[in-house]
Amino acid sequence: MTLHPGSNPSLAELELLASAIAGRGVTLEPGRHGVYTDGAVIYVGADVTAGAEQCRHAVVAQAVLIAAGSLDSSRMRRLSRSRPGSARRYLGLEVARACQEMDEALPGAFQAAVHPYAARVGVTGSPDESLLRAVGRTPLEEPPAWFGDLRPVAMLRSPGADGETPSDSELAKAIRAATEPEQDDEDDGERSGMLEKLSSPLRSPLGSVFQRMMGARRSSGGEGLSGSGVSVVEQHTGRAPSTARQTAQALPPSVVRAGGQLTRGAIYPEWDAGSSAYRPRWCTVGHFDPPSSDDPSVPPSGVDPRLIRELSRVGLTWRPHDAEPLGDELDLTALVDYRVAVAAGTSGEPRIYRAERRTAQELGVLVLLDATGSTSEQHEGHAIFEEQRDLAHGITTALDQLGARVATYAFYSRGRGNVRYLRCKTFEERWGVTAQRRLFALRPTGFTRLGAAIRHGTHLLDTQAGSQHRLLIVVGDGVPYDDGYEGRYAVEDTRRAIDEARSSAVGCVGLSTRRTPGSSEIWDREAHRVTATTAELAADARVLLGTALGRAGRGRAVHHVRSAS
Amino acid sequence: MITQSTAREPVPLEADGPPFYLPVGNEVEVFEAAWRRGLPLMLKGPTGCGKTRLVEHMASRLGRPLFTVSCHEDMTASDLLGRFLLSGGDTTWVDGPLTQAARVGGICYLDEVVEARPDAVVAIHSLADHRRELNLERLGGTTIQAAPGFQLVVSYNPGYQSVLKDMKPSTRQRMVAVELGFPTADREREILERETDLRGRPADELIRLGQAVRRLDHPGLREVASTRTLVAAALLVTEGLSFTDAATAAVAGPLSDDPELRNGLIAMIRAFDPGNDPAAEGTSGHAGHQAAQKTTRTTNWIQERA
Ligand SMILES: Nc1ncnc2c1ncn2[C@@H]1O[C@H](COP(=O)(O)OP(=O)(O)O)[C@@H](O)[C@H]1O
Ligand SMILES: [Mg+2]
Repeated sequence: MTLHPGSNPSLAELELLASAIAGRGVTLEPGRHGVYTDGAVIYVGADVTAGAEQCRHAVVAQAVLIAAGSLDSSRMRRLSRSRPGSARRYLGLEVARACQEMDEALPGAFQAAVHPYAARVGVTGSPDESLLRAVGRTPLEEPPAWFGDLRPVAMLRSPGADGETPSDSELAKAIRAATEPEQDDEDDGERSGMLEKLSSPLRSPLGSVFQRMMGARRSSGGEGLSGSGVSVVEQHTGRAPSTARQTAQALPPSVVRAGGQLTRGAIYPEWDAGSSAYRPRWCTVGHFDPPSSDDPSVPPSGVDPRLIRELSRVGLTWRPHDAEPLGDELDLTALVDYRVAVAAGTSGEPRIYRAERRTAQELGVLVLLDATGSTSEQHEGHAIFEEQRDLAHGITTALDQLGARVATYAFYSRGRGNVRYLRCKTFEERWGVTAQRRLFALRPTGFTRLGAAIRHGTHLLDTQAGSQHRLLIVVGDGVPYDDGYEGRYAVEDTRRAIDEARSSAVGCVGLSTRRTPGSSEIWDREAHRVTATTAELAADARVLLGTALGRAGRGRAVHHVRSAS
Repeated sequence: MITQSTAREPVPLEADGPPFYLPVGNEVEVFEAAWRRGLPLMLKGPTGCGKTRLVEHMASRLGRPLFTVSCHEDMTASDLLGRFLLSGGDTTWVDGPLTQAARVGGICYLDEVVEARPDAVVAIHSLADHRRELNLERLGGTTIQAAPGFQLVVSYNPGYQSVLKDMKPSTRQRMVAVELGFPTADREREILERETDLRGRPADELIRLGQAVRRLDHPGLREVASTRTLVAAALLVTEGLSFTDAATAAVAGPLSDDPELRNGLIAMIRAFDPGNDPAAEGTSGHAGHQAAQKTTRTTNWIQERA
């Protein structure tokens, strides 16, 4: 294979190209030999030089198969029963067909490389025609080696292939596999087949279960979700021993793969209390939108005036205001306007000064809502999640009305490789119907990798709040639990994440709507409240949040909260 | 405090006709009909899809002076309406671009209106509804009736947050909305040829690169390969830069803060670089010589099997 000078992209760099051509998020992973795909991952064998032109072409060819819809399971099943060579002939015909269909978006060099083969075999008009020709008797040339391979058996070879509901241990295994970066090649087929099937809602009932667990889009939510996920993940035993002591260092938000999907996000370390060391690059947090549901009704947003009043006294700082009746400096624009008004005979009040006034502008808050499966439990007829959601809604509304910089996200996790941040409102967005709808479209699912969620919240506040005072409000039941994340390990990591937040001047508080046993292990009394409603929170908000800001400021020159007059 | 007006100079009428604009749909007809009826127009579309060019084209075509305001966060209502300046011992009123346009019957274009603060946008309300008048409170409450030919045009990138919620519903309803997308590959190719001297393979590959990038469902990535950036890349190639260097500067450049994304984009650009074509270099065993001769983009490059 030929290496071209100056063009030596690593596998990761080719992911964007593959995703663009496939028309959906595709990842590249090293495999043993050859180049092939399971529909979500393109495996590139160790025998293929990453930088070579032909490797790039092979990756494009596999992405083309995904884009062209060549890989559906009924055809794979047919091919798996056909004589040797059928799969590769099908692959060749499909690449040639798709190449013609997609010529507007495929590199000319790739098209030119496919062209001689396509011209020899002729171009088919549909996947079915390709299949017929590939398995037929008429002799047909196989494509050149660089087209890569098609492995129908590997795609189908997995438990539950006939579409029955998977057992808990199967799901747990799939999730584990999906979150484990190093994987024996032998398992590729099984694992990817499983994931492929799981992530395709049309293919089997398995799909919808997995989608629900993964919190992926579904048309209307709510049915049968309660606690669905909690039992399926087995205890995670094999922990990699951590070697050196690392510092907690987050990478800037960039493109990550969370649960197999490319998205914006970041990778964080996790604190292993057992060995008193961070596990570097341990958790992947990715940004997603909540599923769009047909009619997530947004209740009329009543604001709690008491909460507004109390919150308005948190994080006050002095800021210059224009056109004030009193002040130390003149406001020139106001002065000119006033002079003109006087000259025109319509004098009013001479509001011609600039003055410092206490303003709440300097407060940036990230409301982080626990949308994990455990919150779907009913409590005296109320779903805990709904209470929490309404509380988060009330707090966001009040802060938004006050003009604070506020962002609202929900989170859940599916193992360390898949911590999901679901956007309701970014710092920049308005707290309008669209944003509120996203909040009300949320349905609890998944698990609670709280440490990673808090680290990401801190990071967002750090980079996007742009305010002097920064506050992370976690609304949840406070029980950290995930695959390989439980007990003391989980509690210690979460506490560590809270400490990290405070030392980067981000105040951190927890709110629960019900008293739960776990929360006191994570939050100290100063930083946690049980408040079922915004009214209850109002009674205490100033002290709670003021204290949190004060603690965050420790060791740093940060304004102290002024008590209200 | 007096800030610079954000208005650009009115675009002069070209001797040789209006600036080139290739329609992607019926936007020219809608624009003209709205202008005849004095209806304010809202252009929706991603950055770099030709909104500004469309407005310049229409203003010239309709023979109206154009007042363009690039909206930004610090823009005040005074920046649109006008203000008193102190000169000597006197105060002199200076019209802002919106007032000027209303007086002379020009087209006032508020580019990226979402960037403006709501309190500045309030200034356009009375002009956008049936009254078509402007109330200059600071000028002793003078009311200006918009001259015939006046039209308000705003552009708005739906990728951003919406300020439209801050407009009065009656104002919003009076806006005629035109949605613009990126042109099809064929049209974009035509635009590239009109705007630049680039021809042949490099032009084909730039268009393909644009199409491929726009297939990515990634917030913020679709726009990096806008028509505007493709035109810029093409101009750089005609200045002698290599395909990869030109496209990297024009397309991947704005993403410098995100190394992973940037590297991914550069790898994509390389894949489309005709200079990396193995057929052209004769280094690949599989790509035959017919391929090297393939210079124009052909849709049906293989005859259907008999
Ligand atoms: N439909 C089009 N016709 C002609 N030129 C176009 C068209 N669309 C985009 N362009 C080119 O792209 C450039 C940028 O377009 P512009 O109008 O500034 O985009 P926008 O205002 O939507 O951000 C123009 O200068 C022109 O070269
Ligand atoms: Mg523009």
